[in-house]
Amino acid sequence: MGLAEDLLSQAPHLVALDPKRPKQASLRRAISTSYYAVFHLLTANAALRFIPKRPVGLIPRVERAFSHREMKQACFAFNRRPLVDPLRTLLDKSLSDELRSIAVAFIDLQEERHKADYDTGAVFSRPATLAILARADAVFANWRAIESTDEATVFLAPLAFAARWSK
Amino acid sequence: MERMAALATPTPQEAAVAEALSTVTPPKGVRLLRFALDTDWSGDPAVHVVYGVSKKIPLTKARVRDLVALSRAAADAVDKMQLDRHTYVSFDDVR
Repeated sequence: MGLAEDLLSQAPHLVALDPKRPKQASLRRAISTSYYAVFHLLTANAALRFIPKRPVGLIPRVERAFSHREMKQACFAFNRRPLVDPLRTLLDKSLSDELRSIAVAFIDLQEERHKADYDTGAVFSRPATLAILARADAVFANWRAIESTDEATVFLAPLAFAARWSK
Repeated sequence: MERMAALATPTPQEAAVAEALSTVTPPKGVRLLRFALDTDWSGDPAVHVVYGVSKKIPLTKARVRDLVALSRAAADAVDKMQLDRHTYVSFDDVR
């Protein structure tokens, strides 16, 4: 199992701590963990697809260059109807529901992660947290369904190259 | 949230969001609490929608699925209004 999968499987354990009255810290860590599971799923796949395996250490170095905000901006573009160039040209058919769902979930999970990590006034419930984790689970399932497709590669490119992508 | 829809004269965008959300039927024990037109963590235009979830309904996998489905349905309904804002849906506990 890679880091992304490990994080995804760790998140529900955090929610299950203190079964009667979950600590806010546990729920916050679960939300943040589920976001990072998705973040690492996408950055790892982008790096593996665009960066050579040698020299050793290059891929982890590249993975550190991803920007949360720029990835979110890239995901916005995949949720636009209709798509605009360069996506419209590269994806000569409409986007799959799976890929659009991944893009939207990434945006939503990032917002929840930011709230969980920084908004000390926020209060999280177990149902709300489990719904967030379910969306992270769905990202992994949807990714498995499309990862070998051209549209998956097109999706990963702007995540990696961000604002430079639209030049 | 900078503007509470229930407390002020609605702007055209707020009216559009209210109309969109009125087309979404929440599952049993869930009700719309509030929404706000504001920004997300990085300053991008957003709609934040909050539903209240009754603590009286047992928490099951089906219940979680219903909440996920509701969040998608609500976001899709608001997105159809083409407000150029991303819609975020979250849940609070209610009695």
